[in-house]
Amino acid sequence: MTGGSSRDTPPTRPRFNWRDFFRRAGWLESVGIVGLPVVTVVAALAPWITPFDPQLRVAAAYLPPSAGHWFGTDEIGRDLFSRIILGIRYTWLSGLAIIALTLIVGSLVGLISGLMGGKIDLVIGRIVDLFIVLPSTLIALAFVAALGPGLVNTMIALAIFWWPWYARISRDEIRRLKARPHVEAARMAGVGGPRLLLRYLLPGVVPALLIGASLDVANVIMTLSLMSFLGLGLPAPAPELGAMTSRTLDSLTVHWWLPILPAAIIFLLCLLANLAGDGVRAALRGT
Amino acid sequence: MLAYLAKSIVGAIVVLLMMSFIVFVLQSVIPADPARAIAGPNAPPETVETVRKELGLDDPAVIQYGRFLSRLAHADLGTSVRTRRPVSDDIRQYIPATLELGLASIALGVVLALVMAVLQFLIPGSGGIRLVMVGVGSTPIFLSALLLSYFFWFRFDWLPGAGRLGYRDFAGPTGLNVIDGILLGRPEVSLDALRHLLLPALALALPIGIAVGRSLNGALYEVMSEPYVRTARGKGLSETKVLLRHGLRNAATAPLSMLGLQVRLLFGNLLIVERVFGWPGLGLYTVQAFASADLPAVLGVAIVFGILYILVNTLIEIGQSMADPRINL
Repeated sequence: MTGGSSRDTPPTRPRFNWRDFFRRAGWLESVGIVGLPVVTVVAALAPWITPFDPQLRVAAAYLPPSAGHWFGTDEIGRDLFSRIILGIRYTWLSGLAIIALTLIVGSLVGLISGLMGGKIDLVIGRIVDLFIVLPSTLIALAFVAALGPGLVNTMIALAIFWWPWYARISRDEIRRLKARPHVEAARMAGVGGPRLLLRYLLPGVVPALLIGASLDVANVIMTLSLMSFLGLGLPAPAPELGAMTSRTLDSLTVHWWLPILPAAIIFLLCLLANLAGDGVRAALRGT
Repeated sequence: MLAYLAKSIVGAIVVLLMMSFIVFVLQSVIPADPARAIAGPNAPPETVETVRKELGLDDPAVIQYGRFLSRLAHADLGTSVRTRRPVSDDIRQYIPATLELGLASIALGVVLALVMAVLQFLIPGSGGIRLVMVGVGSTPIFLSALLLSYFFWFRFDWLPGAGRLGYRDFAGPTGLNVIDGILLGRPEVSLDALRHLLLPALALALPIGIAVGRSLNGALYEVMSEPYVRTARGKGLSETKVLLRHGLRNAATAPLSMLGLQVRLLFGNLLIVERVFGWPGLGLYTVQAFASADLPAVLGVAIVFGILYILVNTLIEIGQSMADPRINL
């Protein structure tokens, strides 16, 4: 490539090629990458697309899955399929919110740490290490138990222990990039401050963060449903997937669909997210 | 070695201090006023004030934290709101069951990881195993626990689906039923305890086996292309011997780190699996504590699990240096 040496043609960035992206990701992983936006749309539109009102009695109680009620009905005759659609909304959207929040906070801390270097880098590094070493799930559980159960408290507790990973990723990437020839060349050419950061450093940091975040979606969903299973999420009438399983645990041998199907949907969400994460990693690595 | 011990002890103390500080802060931010709770709802303000003085609640926070630490050092974790007994007594009663289950699932998980990594190495390019691994890795722990219990207990009735032991009033010196059965010369008790252990331990071992197995498989691929493996093959060792003696040992570092990470997740999973299988350990105790907002019990368990976690991680680091002498402790 001699693009940079010619004076009349400015260096052009290669166009992003979707077909190439999916080919590198692998076909199974591509299903996951396509599935994520689909789930997000379902989650966003959930209140308007459920076949029945998820909060009302619409049929007899304990109907097994059938053509009329795909996932059967629960102990008061509410449509389980509609309740699960609404449950996907809570779990999925709060999972994405946690990822987005911790991604922003974590990468900002990492950027500052990596750019400043010296003592600031050392202190931030120690704090990040300490957070990573703590048994985070336990402390998050204790945190919610102390503040009182609820979706917002659960999200805060998870976010507190999630950002350090992104801080570490972005810090390490910045340190690595700072030593690269193109950044040194830009510096010698007098580029500095925000321009250096935005044009020369950030584009290199973003792929690593994207890979980290996409691999994390399933982890967040799993942890959220674990906390909701333990009764630390939304209070009783709200259809949260983990809580739906734990509330109907004792009817496993009589009405298997009540505890199994919500858990199976969490499995599907995590599977899609894991496949997408693997795909994004395979496609972005080396570009 | 001495320097390493000193370093790891200091590290453990820092983590424990940090945890105790978090627990202390959590205890103080709860809206309920303990002085008011003890004095009773109708007590005059002066009485509440006296109780507050007696409890030392109007001292500066630093002094309160110091007092909190000294109580921790004396294993005083407060009184459970639910059982009305000292939390440390409760924990002493329930911890053997959890230790037994936890150790069994770590052991089973390591076996699963070895089998899966070696299989995948010997049958390369197996997309099937890869898909199974992603699938099991995406299964929430309560789904695998429920499915195991539904099929192996309810449907086929092969294994018990609840509790720890079919024998009543059996108590041994260690509290770990499998070992106590052998120690007291009652092998039928050990066997029964093992049968009860199998399903919950398998539910907990699956995520450990998958994660460690994936990491071990990756490490094996790298190690088996190293020059010293070629030398070992060149001097006529069989492929199995090369894999066992040179491959697995040198590939152990990364999977051991992954094991440490998984043990951290194990503590959360223990709560769920003990709840599903009615396993009378610390996990079930904590779940019940959540249900009745029993904060001292929850925080006490968090501290005990934190100590266990630090212990396990130190053991894993020592294991890493034993497998690979290049790692200097």
